[in-house]
Parts: sequence; C-alpha cells; structure tokens
Amino acid sequence: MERAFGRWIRIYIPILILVLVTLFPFYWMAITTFKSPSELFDFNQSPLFVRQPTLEHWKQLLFHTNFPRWTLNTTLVAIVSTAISLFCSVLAGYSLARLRYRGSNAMGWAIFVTYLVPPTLLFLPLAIVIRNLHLFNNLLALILTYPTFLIPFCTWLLIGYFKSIPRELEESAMVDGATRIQAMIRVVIPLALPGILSAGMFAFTLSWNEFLYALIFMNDSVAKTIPVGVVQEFIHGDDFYWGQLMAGALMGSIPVALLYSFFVDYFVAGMTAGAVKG
Amino acid sequence: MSLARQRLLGLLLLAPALVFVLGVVAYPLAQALWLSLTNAQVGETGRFIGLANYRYLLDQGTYHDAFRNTVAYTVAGTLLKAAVGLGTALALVRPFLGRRFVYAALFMPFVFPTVIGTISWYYLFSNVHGGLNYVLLSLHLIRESVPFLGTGASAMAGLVTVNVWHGSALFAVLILAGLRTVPRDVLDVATTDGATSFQRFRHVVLPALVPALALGAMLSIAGTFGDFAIVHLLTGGGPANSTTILSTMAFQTALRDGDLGTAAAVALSVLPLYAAGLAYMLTLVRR
Repeated sequence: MERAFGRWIRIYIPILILVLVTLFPFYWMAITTFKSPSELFDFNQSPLFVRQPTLEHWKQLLFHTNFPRWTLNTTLVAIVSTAISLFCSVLAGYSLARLRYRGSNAMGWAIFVTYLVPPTLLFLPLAIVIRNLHLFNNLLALILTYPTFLIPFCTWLLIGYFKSIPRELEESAMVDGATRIQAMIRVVIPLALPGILSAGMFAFTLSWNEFLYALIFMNDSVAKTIPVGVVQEFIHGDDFYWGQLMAGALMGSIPVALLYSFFVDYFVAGMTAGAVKG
Repeated sequence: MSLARQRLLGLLLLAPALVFVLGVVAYPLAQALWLSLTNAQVGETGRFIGLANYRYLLDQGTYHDAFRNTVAYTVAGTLLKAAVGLGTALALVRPFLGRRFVYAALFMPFVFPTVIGTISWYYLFSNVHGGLNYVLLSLHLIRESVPFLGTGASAMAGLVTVNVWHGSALFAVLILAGLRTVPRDVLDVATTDGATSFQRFRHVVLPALVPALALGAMLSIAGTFGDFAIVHLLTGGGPANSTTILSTMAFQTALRDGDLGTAAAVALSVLPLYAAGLAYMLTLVRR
C-alpha cells in the first residue's frame, strides 16, 4: 500500500504534470480555432474554454486563403526530397557499413558532422547559388537544398541499422551465386526496412517543418510552404489572425502527427539502433 | 570480392550522397568563408578586405550581446533538456498503464512543426489575453498581466521554455535506449554491497549513459545553436536585442541591412568554438 502510494508520488504525478504541460499548447491551438472573433477578444471570459464554437476560421482557411496551395507545395517538397535523400542514404549507408575500404570509417563520421553544420552558415551562400540558378520561388530550390541536412542524418542512422544485420545472411546469398548488388537488394534492404522507414519519417518531418530556407527562397504567396505561409500571411504587423493561424497550424501538422501515432515505435527503434551503436 | 573492387563499389555507392554533401554543404561553406572576407552587399560582389569584417564585429556591442545570448540559450536549453529527458526516461523505463500514450504524447512537440508550436507559445505568453497570464491571475499569483516576452531575462526564459518543450523528448528516447546498456550484474553486486539508490545511480547507471547523453547534447547543441525559428518568431531578438542570437543577427544583417560580408562573418565567427565543442562531444559518444 505504502509502496503504491510512493509510486504515485514519484512517478505518476510528475508524469501527469509533464504530459499536461506538453499537451497544453496543442489544446490552446485547438480551442482557438473554434472561437468567434468577438470571443477571441472578450477579456471578461476565461480564454481556456470555448462558449460558442464556430467553423468560420476553418472555412476562411480552406476557401479564402492560399492554404490549400501551400499544403500541396509542402507535400511535394517533402515527398521528393525524402525520396532523393533515402536513395542516396541507403546506398551510402550500405557502402559505409559493409564494404571495407580505406577511409570508410572517417567518411562516415564526416557525413554525420555535416549534419551539424548549422543552416545559419549555409543560407547566405545558398541564396546566392539559388539566385544564380534562377530558382527563387521555385520548389526545386527547396528540393535541392533539403537533402543537405537529410542525407547526413539518414545515412548515419542507416549505417547503424545495416551494421545490426548479420553479415552471414548476405554472404550465404553470395555463396549461392548472387552478386553483391543482388544480395544487397534482395537480402539486406528488405531486412533494413524498419530502419529505412524510420529514416524516411525523420526526413519527411524535417522537410515538412523546415522554415529558414523556405522563408528566404520563397517570396510569392503561391510558392510558399505551410510554415512560411502561415506566419507570413496570417500575421500583419501586430495584427494576428489567431483563428486562421491556429487552424492552419493544426491542419498543417496532421500528416506528421498521424505518421507518428502509427509508427512511433519504428521511429524510436531505428533512431536508437543508429544512435547507440553509432 | 577483391579489395580493389570493393573499394570501387563502395565509392560508387557513396557517390550520390557525396555529390550533395560536397556540392551543397562544402562549396557553400567555402563561399561563405570568402564572403566574410569581402565587403559584398546585396547585388554587389564586393572586393577582398581581409579580416576587416571580423575586426568590425569585435567593436560592436550587439555582436557581444548576440554571442553571450547564443551561449546562454544553448547551454541552458541543453542542460534543461538533458534533465527533463533523464527524468522522463527514468519514469518511463518500467511499464505502467497508459505508458504508450504518455510516450506518444511526450514525443508530439518534437515532431510538431517548430514554427507552429512557437506561435502557440507566443499566444500563451501574450499579456493581451494570453493563457498563461489568465491562469496566474486566476490563481492570484500575480496581480496584473505580465509581459513575459517584454523584458530581457523573462524573454530569454521564454525562449528556453519553448526550446525545452520542443526538444527534451529526443533526450528521453536516447536515454531510454542507453538505460538498456546499464550492466545488470554490476547493479546487483552494488545492491548486495549496500550501495544506496543514489550511489547506484551515480556510479553505475550514469557512466553507462554517457554516450547517450553526449549524443543528445550534440544534437541539442546543433539544434539550439543553429536555431532560427523559435527566436525569430517568439521575440525577434527583442526587446532591445536582449535575445538576439548569432543566427538571427546574421539573418537581419543580411536581409535587413543587405550587408552580406558582415553577415557571413557573424555566422562564421563562432565556428571554431562550435566545432571544438562538438568534437569533444564526439569523443564521448565514440567511447
């Protein structure tokens, strides 16, 4: 009895508080989207609840702003840059984990280190490159730059994952007459799928959420991605269109939230396989 | 397979990744270095002026502020994330009812778009009908609304709060994985020898967690040092530059002042310190 009580004090109550604090901003967003403008600025009522829910902000968002277009842009950029990054990272990860050649170990760490180069250092010269290629306001600008931070991290995760797969499996396939490439495609990659899925989710999330490059490279309203569009067009100076802002915010995070609620275990497994064995 | 062919195949498979890494990271980095040594403006190539940009920055009060703020933001954010992450991991290590839900809930801020989370926090912090002020007023903890983002120290605390909210789940996940590497037998021996739970934690568990903690710290330092979204949206560096960090300073110098050479120098000036810090963490991870 006393033990159970102690457990409540030490574990459940702190966890409960942590979960409440963690989720509160999401609750705040959700209720804001359903408040009418008069309710939003009524200072005599508790802002923590909605009295008369309205769908006005959602209608505005979906039919009277460029939000649907931003969603399309963001989706396109995230999918293509994730695909490019996974293609490069699977090959590079396999090469660095499995093939022995001089410098492969150092190369692996060098690739990881590039992930740590902050975008703050790169945005200036990249902006010049993008201008010279005439890619401003073109989704290609994002599709080409996002892999710079996606490939290093994915490669590094996948090196860890490939290393956790026993060598004997592909060696026996090669004894049976498969070439190394065949063994890689038919034996190793299927076994590494959970890791590849995890890397893919990571890449998708990072591209979906990216802000700095999209802010600098995309100025036309129709070229924007969700994070940039939402903060640039629903905030005018000191005027915040809170309802639309929060509705756009919630709507824009549904894909990522869904992805994680289904696959969080894969994500964590892949993440830690890469990370802890690093 | 001969070694020569392995080498060839290895490099071939590595090539696509290398093209990106060299082309879109190494080349721009070199370009940034060159820019920082010129007086380039927007639309002008500029000419070589040696270290003049760096010397200019050393005389600037705003640069010193930004440097201090960057260090404070990075260190405070990383330490707090490590502490919260460690607590979370220790609480979650044993199964209990609803553990999966708690896990998913705590992970949410990490995968949620930073920009959007930051905006929600901005509204919560607001002294015009913000949620936080309402709660504090209702509990009679304060008498009138506090402009949380309006004074230097509390604005910085606000930035750190959002940063910790966003990033502590990553630490928790890494530490949970690290906890599995704690040597069971040593723990048992320590228990029979009469070590207190604190001693066991300090001398057996913590050493096993060093690689996980160092990796978390490395990712956190990279994320916080290079953070732009949270600062840009929550405070914009204000009030009166009290929360300007180097990334927002570089951004403003480049886009508002159009002074590309100085902006590049701002961004590059801390690279040696940053690289040294990360290199040290790397040796801890690889141990």
